[in-house]
Amino acid sequence: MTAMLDAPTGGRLGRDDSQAAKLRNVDWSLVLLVGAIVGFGVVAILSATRNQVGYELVNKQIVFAVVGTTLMVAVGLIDYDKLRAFLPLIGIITVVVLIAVLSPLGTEVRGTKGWFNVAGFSLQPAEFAKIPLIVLLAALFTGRTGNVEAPRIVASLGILGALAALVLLEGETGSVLVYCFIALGIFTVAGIPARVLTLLMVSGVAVFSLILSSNLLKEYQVARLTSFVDPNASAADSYNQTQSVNTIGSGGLTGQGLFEGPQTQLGFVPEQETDFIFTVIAEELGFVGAAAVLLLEGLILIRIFRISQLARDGFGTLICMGVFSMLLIHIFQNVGMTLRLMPITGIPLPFVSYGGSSLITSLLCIGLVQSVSVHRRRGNLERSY
Amino acid sequence: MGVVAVVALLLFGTLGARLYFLQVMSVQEKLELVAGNSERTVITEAPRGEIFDASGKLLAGRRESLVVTLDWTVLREAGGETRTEVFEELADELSTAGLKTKASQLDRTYERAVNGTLKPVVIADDIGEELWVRLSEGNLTGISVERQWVRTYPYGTIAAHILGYTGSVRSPEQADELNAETDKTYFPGDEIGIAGLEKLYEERLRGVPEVRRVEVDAQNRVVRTIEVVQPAIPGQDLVLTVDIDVQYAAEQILIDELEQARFRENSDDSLPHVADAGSLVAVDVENGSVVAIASYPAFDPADFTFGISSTLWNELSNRPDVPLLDRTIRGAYPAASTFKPFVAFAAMEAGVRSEGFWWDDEGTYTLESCLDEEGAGCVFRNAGSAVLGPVDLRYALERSSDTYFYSIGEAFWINQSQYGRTGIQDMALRFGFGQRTGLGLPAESPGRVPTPENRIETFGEDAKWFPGDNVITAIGQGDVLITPLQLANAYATLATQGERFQLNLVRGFLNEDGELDEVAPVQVADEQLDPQQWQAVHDGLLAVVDPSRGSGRGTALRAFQGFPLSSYPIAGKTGTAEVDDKADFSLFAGYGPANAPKYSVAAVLEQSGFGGEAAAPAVRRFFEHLAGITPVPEAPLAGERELAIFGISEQSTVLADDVDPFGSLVAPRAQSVPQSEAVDPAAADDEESSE
Repeated sequence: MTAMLDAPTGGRLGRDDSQAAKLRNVDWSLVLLVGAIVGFGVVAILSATRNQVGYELVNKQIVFAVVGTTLMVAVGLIDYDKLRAFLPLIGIITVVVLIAVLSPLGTEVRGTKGWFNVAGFSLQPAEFAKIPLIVLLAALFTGRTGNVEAPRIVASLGILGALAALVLLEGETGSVLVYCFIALGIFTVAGIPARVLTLLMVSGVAVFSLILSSNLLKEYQVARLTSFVDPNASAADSYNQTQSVNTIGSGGLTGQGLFEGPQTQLGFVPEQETDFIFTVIAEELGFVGAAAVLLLEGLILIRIFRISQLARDGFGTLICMGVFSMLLIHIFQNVGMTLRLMPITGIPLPFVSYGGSSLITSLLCIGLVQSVSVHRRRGNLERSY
Repeated sequence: MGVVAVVALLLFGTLGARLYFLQVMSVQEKLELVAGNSERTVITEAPRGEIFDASGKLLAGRRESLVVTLDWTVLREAGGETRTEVFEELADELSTAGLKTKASQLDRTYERAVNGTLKPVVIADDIGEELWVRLSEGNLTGISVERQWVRTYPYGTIAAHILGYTGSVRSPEQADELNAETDKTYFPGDEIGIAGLEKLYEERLRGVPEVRRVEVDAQNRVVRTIEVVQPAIPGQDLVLTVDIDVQYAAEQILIDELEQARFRENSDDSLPHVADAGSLVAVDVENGSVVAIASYPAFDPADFTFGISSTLWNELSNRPDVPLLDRTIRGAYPAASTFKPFVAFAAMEAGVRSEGFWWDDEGTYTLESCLDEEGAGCVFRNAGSAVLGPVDLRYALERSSDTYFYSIGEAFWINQSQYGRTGIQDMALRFGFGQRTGLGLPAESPGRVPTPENRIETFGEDAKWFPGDNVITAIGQGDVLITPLQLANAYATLATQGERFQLNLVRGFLNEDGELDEVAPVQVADEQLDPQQWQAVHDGLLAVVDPSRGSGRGTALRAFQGFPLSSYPIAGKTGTAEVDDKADFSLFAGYGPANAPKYSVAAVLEQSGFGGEAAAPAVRRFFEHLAGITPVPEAPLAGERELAIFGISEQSTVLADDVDPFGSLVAPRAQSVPQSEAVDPAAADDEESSE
C-alpha cells in the first residue's frame, strides 16, 4: 500500500505510465477474489483426489497457479493496446497451433484430440485459444472509426468460424459453445443491432443442428448433448449426472464436512476433480460452501464488469466483456451441468477445476483485465455508474 | 452492456435457485439415495465345524485357501470383447504360475456359471502368494482373489466313505429350497455336505454366516464396516466313535486280504478271484458304537472340495469296483451261511427242531413237496456236495451243513399253520435285518428279508413264492440281502443275547466351552433269547473257529490258527455267497471275547472265495488289534495336494445325489431259484422298501 501513497498524484490527464500509478490502478479486490477462489479450488481438489493419488494433483495445481499468476502479473503490466500491433501474428499463431494439435504432434485424451504433451503436462490449445479470440474480436470492433459495419461482422464471424471449426475437429464441442458465447457477448456490447444478433443466433442454431445430424461429431458427443433431453440416451452420462445431483442434494445446508463426503471420498462422483468439482464442494461444504463459490465467481464478474466500464477505450471494454462472457458461460455451463440444468460438456469451472490449461487461461484473462484496469483513465475509479 | 449484466444475473439466479432446491429442500431424499450407493450387505460363511476321531485327531478340518474367483455378472456386463481379453490374460497368468490353463476353458467355466450361481465361482484354488499379489493388482474385470474357508481331510482316503464330502449349493432355487427346509441360511455357492457325515450332520456342522453392512467405494471395494448385523457362529465340531488308527488298520487288513485272495487259486470253479472290493465293520456290542467301518476301494474327499473335475468324476463313477460306493451300508449281499444262526433260533423257537435233534446230512436235500417229480429244481446240494453224516444244531453250525437248514426251510413252508408263514423272516427282522441300522448315513440300504408278500410287492403278481424259496432263504441265499453293517449288528445282538442298539458313529458334539456333549446309546430291542437255545448257537459258533470247542472240523479253524482263543475266545460263522457269473463272495461275522462279548466284527470280501479263506482271516487279524495282540499302526497323513483348476459343471454333477453312480453294482443273486427278471430293489436304492 505504500506504493499507492508514494505515487505521484498530479500530472497530465489520460495516461499515467509510472510504476506507482500502475500499482495503484491494479484492481486489488479482483486479486484477492481470484486468490481466494483458486485457494478454495485447491482444497476441493485435495478432497477429491487424496484417496486416489494423495497430493499429486494438488501439487500440480499449485504449480499451475504459480505459473498462471506469474503470467497474469506480466500481462497485467503490459499495456493491452500494444496487442494491436500483433493482431495478424496472433491470429496466424492461433490457427497454426490449432492445426498442429490435429497433426500427430497432438495426443488424444478422453476422446478429444486436442492436447500437447509438454514436459509431463498436458496442454489444451482450445482453452488458450479463447484469449486470442477475445483479443481479435475486441480489436475488430474497435477500429479507428468504431463503427459497426457489415464487413466487420463478416470478418468476426470468419475468425469465430475458423477457430470453432478447428476446435470442433479436435472434438472440443464444449469449447465451441464457449467461443460462440464470447462472440455473442462482444457483439452485444459492441452494439450490433438486436435484429442482426437474432439473425445470427438463429443461423447459429441451424448450423449447430446441421453439425449434429452430420458425421462431424463423434457418437458419444452427440449422445452427451442429446442425453440431456432424453435421459435414456446415454446411460453412463445420465448416471453421472444423477450421481452429481444426488450428491449435491445430500450436502444439505452445511455439508458432510470437508474430506468427509462419502460420495466424494468413495469415488462415486464422476470426474470429481475437474468437471464435477462443484459437486465435491456442494457435498462436503453444503449450500453454504457452494453458494460461497458462486458468490466469489459472481464478485469476480462484477469486478470485471466494473473495470470494463472504467476502461480507457472500447478495446479495453470489449476485452473485459469478452472475458466476462467467457467466465459467465463457463460458470453457468459447468455448475448447470452438475445441477442437471445443462447437458454434460466437459467445461471446467474457472479457477476451481483441476487443470493447467483452464487455470492458466483464466488467470491470463484476469491479467488482461488487470491491464485494462492498470491502464485506465485516471481518477474514474471513484466514479459511479 | 446492460443486457449482458441482466443475462448474467438471470443465469446466476437460476443456479442459486436450483442449488437451494436441491440442497435445502430435497436433502433428505438425496441423502437416502446416496446412502444406497455405498452400502452393501456382505455375507460371509462361518467356518464349518470340524470332525475329530475318538482320540481327538482331526479328520475333517478347515483352512483358508487363496482362491481365484470369476464373477459372471460383472463379466457379462463388460461384454464379449473384454471377456476375451480378461480370459486370455488370466489364462496367461495362471499358466505362468504353473496352472496350465486355456482361455477357452475359462470361457466354458463362465458360460456354465451364467445364471447358475449368485456368488463368484472359484476357478483356481490354493494359488501361491505371488499369483495372489499379481492378480489383486491386475484389476482384471470380474476376476478377484479371495480367502475362502475350505474343507481339509488330513487323512485322505482313510474313512472317506463315512466322512463323505462337501460341495456347494448349485442354484438360487436350491438355496431357496434349503432355506425353506432347514433352520440354516444358504446362498448359492455356499458349502454344503453332500455325502456321508458331512451330509448327515449338515445342520450341526454348518455355522451361521456373518452378515455385515459395509461401505464400498465406486470400484465396489470394501472401505469399512458399518455394522455387523449378525456375527459369524462357527459350526459345531463332531467327535466320532471311530479311532482313525483302528479304522486305518481295518482298511489295511481289507486291502491285504483282498490281495491275498487274488493270488489264491480258485478250488471251486473256473471263475477268477477278482477280489477288488470289500468291507470290514466292527461295532461295540455294549452300546452300538461303530469301532471301524472300512469300505474298499475308497476315494479322496478332498477331490470334491471345489467341485470334482469331470474327468475324475467319470473315472470314479465308471470304474467297475465303484469306489464311491460305501459297501458297508450300501453293499447288499446274500447273507449266505452267516444267516444260519438266526434260522436256528427260528427253528428252535417255533419248535421246528430242537437243538438236540440229529439230522442225517446226505449231501443233498430233495424237496418233500416234489418227491414224485424228477425235476432238477427239487434237489439242493451242500457246498461241494460234501456228505457230513449225522448233525445236530451245534455241529450243523460248526460245519455249516446246508441240508440241515434246507430241511428247516421246507418244514416252515409245509407246516405253515403250525409254525407261521414267515417264521424265519420274522426272526431275521428281530436281529435287525431288512431295516436300516439307525446309523443315519445317507442312502443306507435296508437290505432285504424276502417274504411271499414282499416278493409280490417288489416283483409283481407273477413273482410266486415256491417251496424252494423257503429252502434257499434258510441258508441266507435267494433274495436275502444284507449289508455288512447289518451283519455286524445282528452278531452284536446275538452276542448280547438279544440286546440291540441303534448303531452310532458319533460319540458327541463339542459345545461352546469345548466340552463333549456325549450322545447316549439308544437300545432299540431286547429280544430276550432263550438262554438254552442261545447257548446251543453260541457253542456252535465257538466251534467254528476253535477246534477244542467242537469236533475240530469247523469252517474257520485255519483262519484262527494260532489266535489265543483260550484267553480271547471268538464265536463266529463263515459264509460263502454264490453270485451269478462271479467267484464266490467271502463272508465272516463273529464276536469276541466270547465269554464277555465286547466287539462284533463282520467282513465281506467280493469275489474272494470261501468265507473261511478270505473274510475269516480278515476278521481274525482285526481281532488281533482289538485284543491287543498286534499293535494298532498309526494312520498316515495324506500328502500335500497340487494346484488345480475347476469349473462349475463338475460341481453340479456331483451334487446330484439322486444320480446313482452305483447302478452297476447289482446285488448278487443265488442261482437255481425260480425268480422273476425284475431288477434288484437294493441296487435301485428304494427308500420305501424298508420294513
